Amino acid sequence: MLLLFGMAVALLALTDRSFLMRIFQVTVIHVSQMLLLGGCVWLLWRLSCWWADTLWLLLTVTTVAFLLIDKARLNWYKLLLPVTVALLAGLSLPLLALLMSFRQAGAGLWQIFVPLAAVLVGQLYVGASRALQTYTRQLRHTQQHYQYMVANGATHLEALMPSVRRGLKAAVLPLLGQMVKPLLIVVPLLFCGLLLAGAQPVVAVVASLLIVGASLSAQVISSVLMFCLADRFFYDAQDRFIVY
Amino acid sequence: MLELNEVLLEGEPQTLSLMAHEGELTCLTGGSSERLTRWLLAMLGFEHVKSGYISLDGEPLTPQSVAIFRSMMAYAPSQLEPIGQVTCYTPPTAQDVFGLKANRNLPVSNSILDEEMRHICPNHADNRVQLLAVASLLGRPILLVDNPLPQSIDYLHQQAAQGRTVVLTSQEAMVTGAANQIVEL
Repeated sequence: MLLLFGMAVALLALTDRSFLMRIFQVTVIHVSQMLLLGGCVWLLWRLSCWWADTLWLLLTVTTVAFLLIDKARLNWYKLLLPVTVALLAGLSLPLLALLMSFRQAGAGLWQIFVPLAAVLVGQLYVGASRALQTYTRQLRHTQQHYQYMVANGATHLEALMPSVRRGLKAAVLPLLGQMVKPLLIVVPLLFCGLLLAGAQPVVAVVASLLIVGASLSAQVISSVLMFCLADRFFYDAQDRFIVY
Repeated sequence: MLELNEVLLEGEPQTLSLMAHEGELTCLTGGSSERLTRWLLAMLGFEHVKSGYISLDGEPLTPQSVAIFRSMMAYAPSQLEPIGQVTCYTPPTAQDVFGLKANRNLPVSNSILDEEMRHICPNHADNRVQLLAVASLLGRPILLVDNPLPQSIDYLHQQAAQGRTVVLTSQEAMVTGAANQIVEL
């Protein structure tokens, strides 16, 4: 495998030498991250207790919250808590539903908690990040629109609805994009993972569908909660936009 | 009566005082169009007031009273455009405004809106005509109009004659000349 990888890199270097350094950097980052991830999961499985898993989930969600606030170029010290709470709350119900479904199928709770939570958090990172970016960009660009509507009778929520709609659309579009792919050709990684783990194809299909459903609900719930909880940092008591 | 008493906005070089009375046309002029728009937005409570106060019939504009202020006012901007570059933008329509919970019970239809627009200016290709017609049909006692068409001045006089307080901004001599009170920035 190493030889094949080396050959591929050599071919790329032949066509574009400057690209070689980038491949090297990315490979180092990827390998280090995989080692770290492997170590964390190994530790969690060794501990097999609820507080370690909860602590891991809390740390991961807080990091996701920090990254998506940073991507949207907002003040993390103001928004970290509301965004983390929104992500955690939005994640909890779908995760609980997934855990209960998998438990009924006879899986051990501590074995499935980390992979299921990791899949949901991964999807949430993409969706919630796009939601927050689109929502704040939309708010910044359409202040005239907002002021016009509020001045002529709209409540704060009514005037925000176009931005909320666009934010929610942005949250679910990546997942919807994955769902409409020709799955016979672009086989989902999760489905392959389940097959590799020895699951029956029918079980793998049901599990994949359940996870997609849970991801979709986690993204919608988290995004709505995020918009609600972050609102007082976007608008003051007189409906003046205070984030620029 | 809408009153601004020695009001200083953030970024503005000087204070502004005015008293807009019922049945009169008060026109803000001078300065750039952005600055004039800011003063109208300040009357709606959207701008930070550094000093002085804005009041309506003696009631000062505060976070607690801002909803009452807005319920007494209708606002017709000169245009509705996104700030900066956006890939997709749908400006609010007249239906959006009349579909709001607060305006749902108003007896307004498309034909009434068309009639009002014709009343303002028979050749109503300019977007400002529709924005003014919408604000006017809301039937509120104070009408804030940003840079109206000079052709709509008669209509604005009629609105004032019906007992409304009309505050407008303009750089056009034809508009400022027709106002009952001119306030220079």
